[in-house]
Amino acid sequence: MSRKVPLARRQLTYEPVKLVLALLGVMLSVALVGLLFGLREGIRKQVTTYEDNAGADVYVAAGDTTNFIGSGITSMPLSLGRELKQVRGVDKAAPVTNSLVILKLHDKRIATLLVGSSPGKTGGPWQMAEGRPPKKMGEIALDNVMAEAHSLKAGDHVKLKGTHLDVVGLTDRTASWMTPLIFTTQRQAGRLLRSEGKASFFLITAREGPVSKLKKRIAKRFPKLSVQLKDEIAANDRTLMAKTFNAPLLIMVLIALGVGALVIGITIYGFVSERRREFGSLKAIGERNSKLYTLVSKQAFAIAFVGLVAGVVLQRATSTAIHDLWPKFLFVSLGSHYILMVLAAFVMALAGALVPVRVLARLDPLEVFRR
Amino acid sequence: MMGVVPLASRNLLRQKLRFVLSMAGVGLALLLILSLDSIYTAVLRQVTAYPDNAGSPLIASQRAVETMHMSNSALPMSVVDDLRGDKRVARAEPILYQTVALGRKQQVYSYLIGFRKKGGPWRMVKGSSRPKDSEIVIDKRTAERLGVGVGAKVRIAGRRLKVVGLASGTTSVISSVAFVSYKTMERLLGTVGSASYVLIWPAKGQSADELASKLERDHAKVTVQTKEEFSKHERQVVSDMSTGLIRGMLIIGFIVGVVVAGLSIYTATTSRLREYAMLKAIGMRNMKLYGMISRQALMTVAAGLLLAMVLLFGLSQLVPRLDPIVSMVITPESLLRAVAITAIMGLISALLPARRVARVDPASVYRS
Repeated sequence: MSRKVPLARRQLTYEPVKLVLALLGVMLSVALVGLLFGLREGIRKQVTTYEDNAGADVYVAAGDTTNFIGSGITSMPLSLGRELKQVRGVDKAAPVTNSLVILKLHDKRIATLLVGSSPGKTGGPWQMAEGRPPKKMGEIALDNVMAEAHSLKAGDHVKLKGTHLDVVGLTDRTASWMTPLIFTTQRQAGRLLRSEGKASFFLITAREGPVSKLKKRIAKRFPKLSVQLKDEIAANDRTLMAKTFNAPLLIMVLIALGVGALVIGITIYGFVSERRREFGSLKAIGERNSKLYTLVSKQAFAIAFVGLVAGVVLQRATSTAIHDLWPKFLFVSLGSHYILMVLAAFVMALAGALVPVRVLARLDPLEVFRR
Repeated sequence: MMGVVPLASRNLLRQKLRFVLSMAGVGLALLLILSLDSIYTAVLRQVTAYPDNAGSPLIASQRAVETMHMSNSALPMSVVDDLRGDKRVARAEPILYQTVALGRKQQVYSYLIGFRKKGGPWRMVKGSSRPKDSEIVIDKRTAERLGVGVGAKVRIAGRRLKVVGLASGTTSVISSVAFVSYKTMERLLGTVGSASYVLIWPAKGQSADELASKLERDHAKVTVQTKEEFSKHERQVVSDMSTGLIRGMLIIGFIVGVVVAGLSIYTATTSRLREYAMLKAIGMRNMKLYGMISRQALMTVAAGLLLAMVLLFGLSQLVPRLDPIVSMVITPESLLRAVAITAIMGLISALLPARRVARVDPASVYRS
């Protein structure tokens, strides 16, 4: 009775160190791809932290404003709030002044998104980790992740644009790698930004009915203003900020894929070239090329599969560890990311098997008799 | 006469295909590090493009504001007049600054500068460098991204501004610089009689460094910095924000490089174990063998580095064509860093195969 010899597996496990190095290479490449996609998604999520939590349905701003972050030229008189409240369906119209500002803490210059809102109205901090939201001039609440990184707590003081401010609270769920949120009163923000009596945005909360109809009513009444639903302005912020990373991300992912494919290629090529005589013997006794290709492909896919599983585990562990160590970095893994990682491993295996297959195709069965 | 046999290179080059694969693997791992480094360098360079090229040795801003990137500075025009009236100042030119999203469908995050006579674009590719009312000068790469040219109109804050010139050298992956007249900017901002920053030229005989501290002491509402200090602080904002991330990516790239180089050298070494045993049998010492393996490792990573540099150059030409706002800058410092990383990578990757060779029994050569 003839038994099948598991040639592919035996060759793979014959040199454990080589196998481990190959798995390590694929694992790192897969993990890198996963981390990059996770980081991009995390940035996309952090970019819209304000819109996701502020509680407004519609954002009203001046002119062609399309974004909340980096909105730049947007200012409207505070009196506009009264007119907005008269539109049917508007429950509240809260003025908010926002701007990117640099907060100097110790020797670090931290880019933050300053939000000035009216105490007790929409637009202020939504969750406090410590202390209370700012209520009067000279008060500020800081994102707790940023505050912790700089050993700040409620009761401390910071200097922003030359003005001393009392830290009255630390806010939760406001962290961001790019621009953590900091909050003050709308009047204080106006004073700091030299735009007193003006607002960057009016945050509208709907009383009743579909918000899309409310948006239309406001836009009709104020044709020169920018009127956007929460989801629309959030989508614009995501596009503006996250697309910044698209090209560098694509470069990194392609390079990582190339590295993974080459690692598989080097390993399988090593097996093939060191066993030319054995493969020659197999050819000489009638083994078909297709069988040998299958053998090599099996090895490539086995490395890719195990590397993929290990890579996913590493990616999960690394993203958790990084987030635990530096909470400002958020990694969000989506189902599509895992599909991409599987595809990446598949592409690595296919590309990695190419060169060894070519070597096998050219191998002369007579080679075995020559030595 | 006895010649020295270049065993390391012969061993390495005997299987050319494997060498090419190894070189490509190490090259790609190094490319991972180098491309990230060059994108980051381009960002750092662009973030200081304005203070570096505005032309003034000193820049004044609102008290305690030291940067432009992700900042906001506002000064009443009376402060500009005070600075102009200072005898130690030869010239003081206000500029208005604001960050804006240029375009509607394809948006580019941009610094918008409103200027009078000084502080405008420094390098033009096409058209006028002096925008008049309701006109704008944008960077050539921004224009490509937005799909517009000279004569086209772009929307900012509800107004349509005519593109009258294309500048260069102001765009990076994080932002760009666009220029309008001071009046246009005042209209866009809805404010009159204020400035964001003041460009200052010292009077004859005044050193920029000393004048900066004197002006800051005598004018309570401003922070005055030399353009070098200003640029340093701009760079710090970006590097403080991204250092951890960049370092993490560099570490991953480094480990990948070590693994790939280690794998190739290990594979090359184990396929020649008999030859190494032979060398041991005829009296070659382990130290010499280690040296040989290290040379192979260094040669592999050096070849990988060369390939990475060629690929990087190609990438730096290709990437801006695919996405005009992404630029890559290759500096001698980053190449030197890459050489150092490569050398360390090579030496670490030689460790595993060296251990394997150390364990080879010289007598094994006679057994088979």
